[in-house]
Amino acid sequence: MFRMVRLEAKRSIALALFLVMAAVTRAFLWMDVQEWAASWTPLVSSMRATAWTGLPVVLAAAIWHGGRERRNAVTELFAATPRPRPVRLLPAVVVLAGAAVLAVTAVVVWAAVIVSGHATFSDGEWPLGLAVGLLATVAVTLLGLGIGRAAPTPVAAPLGAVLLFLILTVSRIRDGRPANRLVDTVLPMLPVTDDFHRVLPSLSLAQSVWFAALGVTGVLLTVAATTRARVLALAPAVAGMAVGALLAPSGAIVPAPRATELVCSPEDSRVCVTKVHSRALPDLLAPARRVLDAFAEVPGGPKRIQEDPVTWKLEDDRPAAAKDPGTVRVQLPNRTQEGGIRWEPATLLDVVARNAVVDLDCFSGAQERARAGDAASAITALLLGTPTDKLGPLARTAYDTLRALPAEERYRRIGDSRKAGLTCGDPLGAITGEGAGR
Amino acid sequence: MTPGLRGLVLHLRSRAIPATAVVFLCAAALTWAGCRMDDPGGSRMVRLIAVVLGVAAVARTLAGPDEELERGTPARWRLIRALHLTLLGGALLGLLAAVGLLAGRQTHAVPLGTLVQAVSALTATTALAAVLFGAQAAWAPPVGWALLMLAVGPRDNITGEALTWMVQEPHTDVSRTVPAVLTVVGAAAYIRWGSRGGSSGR
Repeated sequence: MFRMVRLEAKRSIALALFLVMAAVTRAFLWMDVQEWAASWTPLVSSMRATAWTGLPVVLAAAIWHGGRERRNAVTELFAATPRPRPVRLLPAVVVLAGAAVLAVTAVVVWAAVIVSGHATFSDGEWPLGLAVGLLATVAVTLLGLGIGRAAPTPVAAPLGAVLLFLILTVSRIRDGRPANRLVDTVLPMLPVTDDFHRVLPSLSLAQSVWFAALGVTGVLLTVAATTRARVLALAPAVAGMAVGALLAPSGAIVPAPRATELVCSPEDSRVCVTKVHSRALPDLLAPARRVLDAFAEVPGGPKRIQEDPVTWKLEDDRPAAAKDPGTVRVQLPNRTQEGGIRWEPATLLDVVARNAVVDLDCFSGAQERARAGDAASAITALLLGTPTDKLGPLARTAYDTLRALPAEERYRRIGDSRKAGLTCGDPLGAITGEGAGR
Repeated sequence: MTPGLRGLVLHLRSRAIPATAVVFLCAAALTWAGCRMDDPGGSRMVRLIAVVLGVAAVARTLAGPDEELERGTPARWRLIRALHLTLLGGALLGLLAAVGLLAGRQTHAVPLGTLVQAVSALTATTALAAVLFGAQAAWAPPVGWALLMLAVGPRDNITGEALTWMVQEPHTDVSRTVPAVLTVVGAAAYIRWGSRGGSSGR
């Protein structure tokens, strides 16, 4: 048996599959390294997303391998040998599935080593997500071998790859799709998630059932000798799909409160980030403190700056937390590979200061947003002493107006403007005194 | 049936043209579906996948069941190969372009130039691969490359432009040159040498 496996490994396309699969998975994983390099949940997401390109490769290779006997016109010859069909085919199955799994595993290990050096939070569920990805690879390999033996045409391999790529592409295009248990279960990629959410383990369980069943169908197709047996071989896949869809949760992505616990600066607890991003805290400390100090004189000014556990990736249907005007919320979407903040210090300072003055999300019109932005720029430039050469005309007027006022009135107007900016009023009007409190 | 017609029918059957025509029709249906999509990016993607689907079936047609045996016959194989490749690529291109025009959603359309480039260059890449590796395995380079281009998306350095010529929009000099060279080299090599013998039976 071992000798046969070694022979298969040497004489089949297993080595080529291993190299291509490892290269493709590694390349596509590397493309969004900044997303996953410092936390486990995005690693699982990104790894599973490589199925988009990896699985068509595996499927094509397996179909090709499955059609080998027919291409060489030795089907009848081999069928006449006294060894049972499954025993005869086992080395081919082992070698091909092994090549695909080893390639993906090697990339997973490489990625896990990177993440383990930087991650600050683990929910302990990531190995399950990665394991399901490997199971999907095995299942598609077995299915491909089955199709290769069942489909009597050399175009089955390219057509299989293109069709699988098409299906996965269309499912990606439908981003923001409504949660659908069947679709969530069947697709090898996970639904869109971010650092602050987790995938329920029950989805992984449902997917394991489906992919295991798909693998069984592949094996049955591989060893099937008659048309009837081939049709029957589809039964496990259909059953697995049904059972998986029943087991799957209706909303597989849920908030992860443990990831969004706040980790605050040890000295004064004025600056906080989420636990999953705690490596961003040192980068945030200096600009956050500078903003807090600059606003110290402003009546009702901010007392605390914390990361907002919200991302553009996921619409959260949780009711928004009551807004505390004393707390500035900042989103930190751009992080370095080490988990720090991937913004220039000046940009970061600007973002923190702007969030301290206005809540841009509550202005829907472009003009209102621009006015709010101008107010924020004027106040920021004045309080932090940042360069004023990029101020627009409206911001410049607001800046000059504030500068000309006596200190007490200036801080009062900044306080009013900030109040308006955070409650969707007119922060610029509050500075210039026209329509304050609108 | 006249001998000429009989020869033509035999040629088409030995090249699995009926099955290939079915795949071309599937590609046309996919193009139609792509044209009906609202999302322009998705529509473009699906229409380019339709091109790859059509080209995936071309490889099988580039050699008969026994290439060595055929070559021994006194036929004008170079002319036959030239006609075969041109007509097959032309049929796929004409079908996909016609469906795109009929669907009439020009706002989402893949420009005709992109379609011509994609079909001709991928078909010629298949032909080149048939010369190098034999017709049976000739699908792998064009289909693999095309799917990678679609997955990676356009890149903006010179090497990247050359490697992702199919998805460059608007096209650059590099992304126009690469498919043109592929078309010429692939077609010329196939017409000159034909599919690599021996491997076609495997």
